[in-house]
Amino acid sequence: MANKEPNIGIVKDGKVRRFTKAGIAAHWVHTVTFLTLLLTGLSIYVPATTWIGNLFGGIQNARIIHRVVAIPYALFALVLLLVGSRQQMKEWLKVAFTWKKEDFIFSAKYIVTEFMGRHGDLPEADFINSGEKVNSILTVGTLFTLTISGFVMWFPETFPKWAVRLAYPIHDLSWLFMTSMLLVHMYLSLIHPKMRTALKGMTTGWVDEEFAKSHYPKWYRRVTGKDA
Amino acid sequence: MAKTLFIDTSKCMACRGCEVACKNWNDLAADIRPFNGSYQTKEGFATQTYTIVKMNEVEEADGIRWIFGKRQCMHCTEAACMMVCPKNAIQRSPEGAIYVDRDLCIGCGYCVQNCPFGVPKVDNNTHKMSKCDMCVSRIENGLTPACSKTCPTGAIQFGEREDMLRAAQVRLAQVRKRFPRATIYGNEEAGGTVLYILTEDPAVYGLPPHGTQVPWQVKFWQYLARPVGNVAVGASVLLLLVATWFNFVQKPPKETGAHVEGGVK
Repeated sequence: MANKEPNIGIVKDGKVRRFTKAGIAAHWVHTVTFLTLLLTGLSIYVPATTWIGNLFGGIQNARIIHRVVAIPYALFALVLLLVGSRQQMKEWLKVAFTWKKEDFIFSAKYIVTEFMGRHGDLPEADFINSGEKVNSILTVGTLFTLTISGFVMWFPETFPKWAVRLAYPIHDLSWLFMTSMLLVHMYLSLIHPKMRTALKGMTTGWVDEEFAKSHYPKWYRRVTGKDA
Repeated sequence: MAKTLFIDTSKCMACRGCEVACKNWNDLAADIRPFNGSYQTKEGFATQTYTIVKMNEVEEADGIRWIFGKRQCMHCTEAACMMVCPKNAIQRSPEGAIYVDRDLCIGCGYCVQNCPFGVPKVDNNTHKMSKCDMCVSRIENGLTPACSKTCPTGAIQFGEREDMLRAAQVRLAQVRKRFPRATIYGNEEAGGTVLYILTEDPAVYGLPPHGTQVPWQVKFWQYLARPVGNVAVGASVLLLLVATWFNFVQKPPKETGAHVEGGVK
């Protein structure tokens, strides 16, 4: 499988090139827009967090910002990937949506061992492991469900009543699922002792070779041609 | 105690005194529109119009007949507007009146989209929803709603729910002699805080058909989607607390095996 972006898999000074520049840009565009939408959404939608609206200059401003930021959220990351990182996007989606028995074993074992700071004998992961697959599927899936339902809620006069009414629970369920996944994703990248080094991949594009070998052995072998 | 507004359309003569009394008591501005060929004063509910009298002309063999229907909020006992309001701005009085707390309302319009009767309206300048509140300030002081107080024919009655339901049943038997298709509307449809004697099919009055009127999407949202989503977020938080305990408080044993971690050194 030589399906890789030109730079991906290069080994230099004990590091492996893991992400493309466009992929990194897409990740952070998505991060900033999603978090802005989450905060404004919380101020609009949850009684206990109405005060967050003050950070955006009041609840009515928050409502406007929520709609304005929804546009780059819906489009920018997608465009960046399509234009600048189509190969890796395809590979990522292919891996994310391919599920085998070992993926379920991985997640079940990971949660009780590695996630809790213990060593676990886990099935070998490819570009991403099965927990990251869930994160990827939810991120892509809710990008669509949130965008479509949000669009219907934004222009209720344009759509039939049943669709507008259905958009609300879809929007609600989507952000709640995505947020619960995001909490775990952020915990692993910012706080978790063994995993937080992975953040370097998303800031520089490079990860430690040893980290890549132990966490993504199949991918490492595939893109570097070396033994893990 | 639960109260009921009982509207007998067979007694309504479309004087529209209720529209005026409502505007008067609630201090609502006049909403002057050009004549559009109908005697009906208001086309529908608006931010300044909480009650309207629908006027339908029906051609029959012996001439034209008028069908009048006084409309306002149904004050549903299972109120979709109240269920979907993200700020709990829509509340219920002990008498059963559904009213909006304007300080809490942010004008999101969820209630507008989900009300089966098309009642709530949001003012785009003030960002506040407004609708009939069954004159909650009057009824909690022992008065009757303004529309009921002013009605000269007794078409709008107000009282204890059981009394009104009994009155409606008695009246229905009488009305059916002249209007065989007459029905009671509002008890099954919205819980009975507002009861109607309708002489015709509900659609004639612009009302949804007989049967419970909470949209299925609202039920799916409130009874399934929201609880499932909340459990997901709760489970995540719990998982992270447990992980924090094992990673930082009760530190993991030092590893001696060959397994290499790329962790922070």
